[in-house]
Order: sequence, then C-alpha cells, then structure tokens
Amino acid sequence: MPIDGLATQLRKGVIEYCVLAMLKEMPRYGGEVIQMLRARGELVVSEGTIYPLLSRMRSEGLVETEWRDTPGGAPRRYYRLSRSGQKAVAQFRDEWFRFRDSVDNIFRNGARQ
Amino acid sequence: MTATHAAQLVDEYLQRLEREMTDLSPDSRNEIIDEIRRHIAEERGGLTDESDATLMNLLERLGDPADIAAEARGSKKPRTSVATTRRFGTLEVLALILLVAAWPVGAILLWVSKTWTTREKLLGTLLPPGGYPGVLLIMSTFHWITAASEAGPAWVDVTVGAVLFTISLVALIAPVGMIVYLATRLRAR
Repeated sequence: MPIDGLATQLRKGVIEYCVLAMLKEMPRYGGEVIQMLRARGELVVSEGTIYPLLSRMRSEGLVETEWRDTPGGAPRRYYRLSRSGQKAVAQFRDEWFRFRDSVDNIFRNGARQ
Repeated sequence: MTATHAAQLVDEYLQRLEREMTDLSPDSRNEIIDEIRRHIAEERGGLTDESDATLMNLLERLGDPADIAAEARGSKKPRTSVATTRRFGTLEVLALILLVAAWPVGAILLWVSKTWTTREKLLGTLLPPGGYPGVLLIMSTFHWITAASEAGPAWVDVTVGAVLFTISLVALIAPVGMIVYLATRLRAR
C-alpha cells in the first residue's frame, strides 16, 4: 500500500470521532471545526469533506443542528452532540486507548518478545 | 482580481460540486452546497487582500468536489454501486432475446457477457440445446418415432404418444424458463 494511501485509510477511521469529540464541550459551526482540525495538523486533507460528514452524522442522529445569528454576518448552522453522539464518543475513546496501547506495545517491544 | 472574476471562480467550484453530487438526494445535496457556499463567503470575508492566489488556495484547501461528493455518499453508498446496476446492459438483454430466437448468436453473447457465472452460462447454453431452433429440430424427428410405434400394439402407440407430448411440452417451456432464470440472476447482481 502506498504510504499516502495508508494515511488516508487511517484518517478515514478516526475523523468522524475527532469531529464528534470537538463538539463535546460546546456546539460549533462547520468552519470552526475545520479551523480546529487545521490547527491540529494532518487530520484532514480536503477541508470541504467535513460538511458532508457533519450532514451524515446529523442524519444518523449523532449530532443536532441549530441556526445562530452572528453579529454583522450571515447566520451559521451550529452542530451539537446528541445523546447517541455522546455515547459514540465515549465508546470510541475506550476503544481507541486500548487499540493505541496495543499498537504502541507492538512497535516498542514487538521485536523483543 | 475583479470581483466578477472571483465570483466566477467560486461559482465554477460550486457548479462542479453540484454536478458531482447529482446522484444524492436533493436535501443533502442542497444542505452541503449551502454550507460550503457559506464557508467560502466567510473565509473570503476574513482575507485581508483577495487575489487569484488566495482564492485558489481557499478552494484548494476545500478539496476536489469529487472527494466531497464521495464523503457525502459515505461508506454505505460507494459510487461503484451505480456502476454495478449498469452492468445489466444492452448486451445482456440482447443475449436473452437471441438465445430463444437465434440460438448460436444468443449463446455467443451469453458467453461474451461478464455478468453471468460460468455455471449459469453452461446451463443457459445446454438447457435446452439450441434454444427454439434446437427444440423444433428435435421435435421434427418425432413423426418418425410415432410412425414406427404405430406398427406395434396399441398401448405402445399410446405410451409413445404421451411421452412425446410431455417432452414437447417441456421442450417448449424450457427455453422461456431458462430466459426467466438467467434474467433473475441478472437482477440478483
């Protein structure tokens, strides 16, 4: 597998949960989520893909939306975590830490076992 | 850069996005396009001086409209599903028609098509052998048999007649039955 294909595959599996996790503290609008992802480096290549992702998460009931006015600007659609979205984040968190520990363990100690 | 040129670049991008998403439901298509249009407007508002380069950079960061459309389809509806339904094409329909009407041609088309499995192709070719032309050829030999059986006792004549009648009936239904079977295999794809 080419190495950039590998990065794409890895991103695909986690990006949805990263976005959900970003909505945990407070509702955010799409552009805000994108800025946060951008500030955290390599998580997203095509920023526009966050919008269909949010739309899909809404139809799956993981997030809810509401329009909010912005002073001196156009209204923004804010995304808020639903109850099932909160559950999904918690589940992913547990799963991720286990998964990450296993992979770390193999890469750090694998050769010595 | 003139304002019209900027608007043109943005419009072109949004139009490409719309074209890439024609297979999606109007609701989600409109929602995504609306959000991306707002995103572009907001990001442009934040640019201190807008040039071709900064605007292109903004659109480039958003990404290829095809990638955005692919994400909108999600893992459940990959684009290939459109292609799989299209595998059932003119070739397959023609193969089924000619299999009954013009057997050798129909059989060749059956084997040319990549849609059926080898087992289905074998069944389609051999059951019945030769389609209707083959069936009619076989049935044309029946009068020799009936003529021969008339020479024997009456019960032989009756039995042979009944057996040949049954064979003819099955032989006449078989090609149509096989076409129906092959067609349902197509729909199962």
